[in-house]
Amino acid sequence: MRSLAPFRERPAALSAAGLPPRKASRLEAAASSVAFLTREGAVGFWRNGLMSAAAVSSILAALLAFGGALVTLWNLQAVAARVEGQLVAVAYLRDGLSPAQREAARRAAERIPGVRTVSFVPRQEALRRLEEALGGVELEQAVRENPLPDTFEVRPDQAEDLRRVAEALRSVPGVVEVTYGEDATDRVLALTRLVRGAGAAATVVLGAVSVVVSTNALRLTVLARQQEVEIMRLVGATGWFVRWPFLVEGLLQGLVAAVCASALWTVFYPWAVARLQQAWPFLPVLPPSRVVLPLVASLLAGGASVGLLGAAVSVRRFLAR
Amino acid sequence: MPLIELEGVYKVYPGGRVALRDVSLSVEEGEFLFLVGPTGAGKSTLLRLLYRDELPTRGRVRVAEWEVHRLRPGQVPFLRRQLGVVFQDFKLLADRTVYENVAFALRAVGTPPAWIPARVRAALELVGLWERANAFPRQLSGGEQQRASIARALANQPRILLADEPTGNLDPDTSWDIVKLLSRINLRGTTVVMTTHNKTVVDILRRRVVELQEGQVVRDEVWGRYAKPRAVP
Ligand SMILES: Nc1ncnc2c1ncn2[C@@H]1O[C@H](COP(=O)(O)OP(=O)(O)O)[C@@H](O)[C@H]1O
Ligand SMILES: [Mg+2]
Repeated sequence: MRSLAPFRERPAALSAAGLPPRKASRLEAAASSVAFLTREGAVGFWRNGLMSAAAVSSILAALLAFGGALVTLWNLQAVAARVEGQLVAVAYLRDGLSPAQREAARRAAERIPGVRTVSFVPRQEALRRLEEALGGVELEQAVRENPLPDTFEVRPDQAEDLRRVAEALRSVPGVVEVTYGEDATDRVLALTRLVRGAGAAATVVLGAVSVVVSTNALRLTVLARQQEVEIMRLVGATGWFVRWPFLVEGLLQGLVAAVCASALWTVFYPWAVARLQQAWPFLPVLPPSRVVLPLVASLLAGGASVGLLGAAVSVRRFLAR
Repeated sequence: MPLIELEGVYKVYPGGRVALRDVSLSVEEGEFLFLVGPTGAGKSTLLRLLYRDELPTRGRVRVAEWEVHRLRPGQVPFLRRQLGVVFQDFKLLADRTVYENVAFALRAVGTPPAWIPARVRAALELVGLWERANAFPRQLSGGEQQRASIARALANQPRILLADEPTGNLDPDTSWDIVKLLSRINLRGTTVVMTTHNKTVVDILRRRVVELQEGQVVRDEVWGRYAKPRAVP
């Protein structure tokens, strides 16, 4: 019976995947399939113009909110870091230490785990700072003799370590007294921890919302291609063949939304910073130069992954059967 | 070994509707088989089991070397490449030409682009639609649309063609053309399983007829007619 089949002139070496036998042409075939499927996805993106616009705008809304969360988070982190950076332990040194003893004390302080820097502040410098803090009063004239001791300013790697570092400093030979603003430190730490946590939580939540939003948007895309999918599956397209055009379409939608969101934030952030600094000149906000690039990168990465993820989730339903 | 084999197959749909009851059937390579029976008898269900659109509730289904009833999902596409399927409603993509519809099926299984024009042309010439290759489905008659869908089903050179009421939407003359076409495809070596309500066609062609009633095979005749001949009085 099979010898009667001139139409089925399938080459003997044809593999189950329908690819040609030669290695080079197998690669070519794979490459051309990827090209074809990618084109299918891009064509779908343009052909379903209105639907793409709807999907892009809902992803855009989500990304704008996500950008807002990121900008807020980064600013809060910068404030927290700056506040924490001001947390130091001050070790007062015994009067009349020889330079060698002082050097030994410094080395001992530096060996304490979690210590980042130990800087020596001579008593003259301490007095100068005090004068400066008091607005340029000539204290040296007033007191005749400098009452301030030599000190080490010790900065920890982690602000949370300050208490432990301060305790350890007390037992360094040559140190008579250690202060680190006990109560203030604890309150500052509690506040920065709260700020960091809330910012991160908001970012995560908004990221998740973006995925949900774009999944819904892309579900429409999948529905519009239901017939194509049905036929591809009927004739024996593998899961990846069915998925790929959607992933491309989702990626395009996510990227277009991300480009729009980036453009809007690139214009909006410098404007907002300028307005804020006009109103409150001392408000510590990050300059646009430090925000815009990372923000654009995050939005592009976010848009791309949200589009891909949304497409993958919404096409899964079709492939489940 | 028969090309298609069902053994003790039951299909119960969710909700409890029993579509097939203890169906056993084997089809040799190169056969032409009519599947007849009243609406709701389970004909479409039987075809769906063959291309693994549905799984049997019980029993074995084998198509060529594929144990369809326990096929891993990843293997399903490769089974389907052995099967062309056509339907009453053609299922052509409205925004693509006839040529593109056929090419789409080839590209969907990763056929190298260099092979595609020749394959599309061969398939369209076989069904006599090469002249209309650049027409869109809505510009075609029902019979032409069905030819296009048959060309698409054959483009991948499957061993088996499954046709679920392919003439259901066509007038008698056109139906006859389609059946002649399927017959010709069968003569070229492709095994054809076709469900139909078309008594005339079945009675003229006199091929193997399997009749289903309420999910059971009630008749299997080698040179069959649409209905069992009445007893001579
Ligand atoms: N997806 C389904 N879910 C539930 N019941 C179904 C489904 N498909 C078919 N049936 C039922 O199974 C029986 C057989 O249907 P079908 O195979 O389509 O018969 P035929 O093609 O012979 O008309 C019918 O009673 C039908 O209502
Ligand atoms: Mg039916």
